[in-house]
This record gives sequence, structure tokens and C-alpha cells, in this order.
Amino acid sequence: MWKKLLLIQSDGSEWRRAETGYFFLDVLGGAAAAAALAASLAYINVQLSYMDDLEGSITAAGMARDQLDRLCIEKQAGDLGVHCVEANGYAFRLTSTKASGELWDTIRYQVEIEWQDRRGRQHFAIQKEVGDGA
Amino acid sequence: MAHDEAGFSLPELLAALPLLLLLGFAMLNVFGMGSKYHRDFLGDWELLQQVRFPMEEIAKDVRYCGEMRLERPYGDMTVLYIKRHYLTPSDAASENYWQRYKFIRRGEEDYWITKNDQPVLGRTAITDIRLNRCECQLLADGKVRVLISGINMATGHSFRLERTLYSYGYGMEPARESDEDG
Repeated sequence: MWKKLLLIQSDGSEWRRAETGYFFLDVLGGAAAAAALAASLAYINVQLSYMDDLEGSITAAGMARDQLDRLCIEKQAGDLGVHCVEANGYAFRLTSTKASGELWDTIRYQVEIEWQDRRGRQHFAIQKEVGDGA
Repeated sequence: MAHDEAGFSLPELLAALPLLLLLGFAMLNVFGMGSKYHRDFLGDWELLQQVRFPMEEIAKDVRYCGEMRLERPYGDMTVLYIKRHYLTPSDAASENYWQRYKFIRRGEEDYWITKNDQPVLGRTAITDIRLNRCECQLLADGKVRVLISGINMATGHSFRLERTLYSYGYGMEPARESDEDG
């Protein structure tokens, strides 16, 4: 509305606007600025997700290694099977199994750990062969 | 009569300047928000390292140790002694015969960890990271429970690791003098 007022002169004549050909570039500049903003926000979001996921991975790694050590050293049957543990805001599911090792008189213990993070369901397994100590 | 329009008219300026200010203010806010998130990200990263690194270091030493003991020389200090598996009794005079992890309580929910009198942790200028819990408990020969928990004071974000560490017993048998001679 304010733009319309500018076009009317006191003598009744109209102004002729001289600007031509800039609108596309203006839109392009605006789009570039918006894209940069969106990219920055996406980058921040990725960083924060990465940090959360890293916490889960570090916690899971320590937990699985502890469980494998416990199995290999203490050799308690009660430690086998499925155990659920919560730590640092994550719910971990540990599945411990025991099988015969490749070498004679050895036992292979395996610990598989699963947890849910922002990227989805994560899991990994570690195993170790030890003498059965019988 | 037609006029070529040059420059800006006063109403155009009056309309454009507030818009420009608004846009600038919004951009500054977004930049400030991005900067804060980035700082928080680095602070949380630092928190993970401050908790993870001492735990990994202790776990590594415990795994290959021959013997451990725990002492509390003062109320605010716990010392975990870990005998290096590769040292022989003739090395007993060496101050490095035992690895010494000191968990020092410096204030309310503020701990510090040293290894052989050197700090295990560094200081960061990014944010205020505190170790609010450090506990060590000897459960059996070759088995120790360690708890380290930290907090990023800027964000209130906390991270905690609790592990039971086992020695695999390498070097549990003291080296004989004859082995050294041989």
C-alpha cells in the first residue's frame, strides 16, 4: 500500500521505476541465505545426535568388555543368558553365550550387546576363547 | 511526466530499516544459538573424554597387573596401587614399582585424578567440567570396581561409567632372580 502512494506525484503524473532485472538475483540471494541457515541448523542437529550416539557406544563398549571378562574369569553359569542394564539414558540388552572353542579344551564366550539410539537399533558382539580350567 | 527513480524514498527507508534490523537481529540470534550449541557440543565431548580416559587408563593397568591394593591415607584421598606386571622384586625400590592412582576429593562433588603424581586429566577453557563422583572398591584379588561420573556445569549434562575391572593375572608369579640372570 505504501508503495502505491509513492507512485503518485503532486501534478498527477506517475513515476517510472528504473529497477529492472534484479528480482531473480534477489530471490537467489535469499534462497542461498535460507539454505545456509538450514545447513547450519542441520549441522548442529547432526553434532548433537552424534554426541548422544557416542555416549551410547562408549557405555556399550565398556559394558560388553566387563561382561566378557566376568565370564572368562569367574565362569559363573548365572552370568550367561540375557541381561538388561540401563546406563546413561540407554537400555542395553546383553546376551552372553558359551560354546566349545576351536582348540581342544577351550571355551568360547561371546557377548552381544544391543541398544537403541537416534540412528536406530545398534549392536555388536565380542568373543574370546579361554581354557576351561576344569 | 515521467521521472527516473534513483535512490530510496523516505517511506521506503522507513519500511526497509526496521525489516533490516529485524533480519539482522534474527541472524544474530541464530548465530548465537549455533555458537552455543557448538560450545555445548565441545563441552559434552570434553566430558566424555574426562570420564572415559581415566577409566580406560585404569582398566589397561589393571588388566595387566600382578597385584593391587587400596589405601585411604586421608579422608579426601583414595589411592589405588597397581603393581606393574613386568617389574621384578629387584625393582621394588623404584618409585614406579607401583602405579599409583590417586582419587582426590577437592570439594563438594569435585574430584581430581592423578597417576604417579601426574594429572590424568587436563583442564579445558571451553566449559566447566567436574568429576562429581569417583569411587574405587577392591572386590577381590585382581578385581576392582571403579565408578567415575562427571558433569558439564554449563549444560547440566552428566555422564557416568561404572566398571568392574579384572586382572588377567599376567606376572602374578613374582619373577625369580634366576630368571633375571638368565
